[in-house]
Amino acid sequence: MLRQAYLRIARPLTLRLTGSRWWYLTLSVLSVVGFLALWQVASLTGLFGRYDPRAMAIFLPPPLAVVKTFGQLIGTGQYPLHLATSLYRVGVGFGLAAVIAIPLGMAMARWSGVDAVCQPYVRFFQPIPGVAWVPLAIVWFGLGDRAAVFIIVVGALFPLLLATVQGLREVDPTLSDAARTLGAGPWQLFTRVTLPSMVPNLVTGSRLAMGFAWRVVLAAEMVGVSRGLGYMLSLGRGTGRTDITLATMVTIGVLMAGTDALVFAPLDRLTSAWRPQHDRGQGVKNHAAA
Amino acid sequence: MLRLSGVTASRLAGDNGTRLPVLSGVSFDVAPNEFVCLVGPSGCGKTTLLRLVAGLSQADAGSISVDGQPVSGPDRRRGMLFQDYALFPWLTVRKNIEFGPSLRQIPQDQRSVAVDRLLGKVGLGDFAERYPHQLSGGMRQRVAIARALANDPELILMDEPFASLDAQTRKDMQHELLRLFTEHRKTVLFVTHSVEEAVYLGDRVIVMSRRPATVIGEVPIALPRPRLLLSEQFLERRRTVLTLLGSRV
Repeated sequence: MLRQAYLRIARPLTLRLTGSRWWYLTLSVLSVVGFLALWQVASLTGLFGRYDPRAMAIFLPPPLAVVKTFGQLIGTGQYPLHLATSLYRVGVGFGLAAVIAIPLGMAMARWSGVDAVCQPYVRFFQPIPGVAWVPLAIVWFGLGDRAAVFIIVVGALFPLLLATVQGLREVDPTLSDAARTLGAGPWQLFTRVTLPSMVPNLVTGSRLAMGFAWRVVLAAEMVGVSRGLGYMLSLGRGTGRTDITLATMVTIGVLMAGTDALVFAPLDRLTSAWRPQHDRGQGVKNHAAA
Repeated sequence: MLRLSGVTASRLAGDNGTRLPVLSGVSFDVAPNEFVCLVGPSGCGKTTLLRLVAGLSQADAGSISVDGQPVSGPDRRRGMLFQDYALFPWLTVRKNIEFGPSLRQIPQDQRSVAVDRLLGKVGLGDFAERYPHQLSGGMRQRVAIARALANDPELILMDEPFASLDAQTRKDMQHELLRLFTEHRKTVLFVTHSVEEAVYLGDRVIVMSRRPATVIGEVPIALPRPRLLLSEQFLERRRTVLTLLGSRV
């Protein structure tokens, strides 16, 4: 059922390429190809004769060299290891953040006592960027996975927490009433009305949290946590292999844009109709049309 | 079947904890299979009254009973329709209608047969897999009606169910409701602020006063259906209800 819904939303985006969209797509492709060509030429000619082309190999390696490096890195097995390391850290950190934030957020929205106890910390720590925790995390957990996971949890926790609190507060009381008159008990009310009502907010919160998680893990890996994509970024600089840095940057870009386009954007479109405001807006529109 | 006696209720007004009296000693009976309409000035507590009968909130004083049993909480034998439909936006039309039966672990095949029958009855057979936001207001209220009927309740409470529909859709829905009412023989308590709608639909119209509301009078309609809106008898009953309303406004 979810797959059907997913396809229904994803399909029009990929297939509806009418006249003006072809034009748009052609321009975009030309722009990218032109940019890569210009980069290649500029790099090989030392910015059109201004610099020594050999220095340019470090200053700004040409795209074809980056592609070659990419192939080598995958070939040696080094690259999959670092990618897997970062993915693992983000996965575990994000999962832990969700496991903490969702029950805590629900408790905060439900009981004002819990809210009063937790709110000062939320207010204070939320504006501090996750990266600021890197030094302490390294002192506490060393240079391995645990430090990275800790920082990701701190970075992803607040967006998820706030989304949960808001999600629970936005549950439409009429829907709860309807479910109760249809015979729902307290537990059924929770699983069949409250939880699904919260999903749109949780999607938005997860989207934000995932962005934060990647940013902080890269920063941590660059500063000292061993292995991972961030480690590769700074490895490239330290060893004069900026082609490695560029290859890693491309990977991160593809990874983040891909996650957003293939996971979060469709989920967001799918669930936006669940938001209470959406339905109310429709009702008003129908009314006005009459 | 349904008996209210001396029902008094209030609700919180503002943040300072003062309570605003809403209902003051409301008493009336509804017979089995009767269609009773409740009219009164807006804000007079009609919705509060329905919520009390549904068991969604508690009265300060007085008693409400169904077949002699006092109402103590929501019960699937008392279904309710809401003005803004209250459909679950994450469920398809089919799953919305199935909501009540699915809470009671009724086998899937048995449920499907019942839902198919209801879908046909409310004319939504082709829309079973759509989501509520893809439907018009009239269609949404049909889904809500089918969802209430799927639980096979004895009493259906309707809180201005057609108030946000355009005039033509409203007419269609009134016809449809009467058809379903005759077919299923349910007891209906229908709240509206439209006197015409009340006289058109009801076996009896109960008129309520301004807040804190009491029952000012009852008007038996006793006209065969479908009723002609411009017939002498229809207009006469409308006048009677309007006069009752006017006497306290």
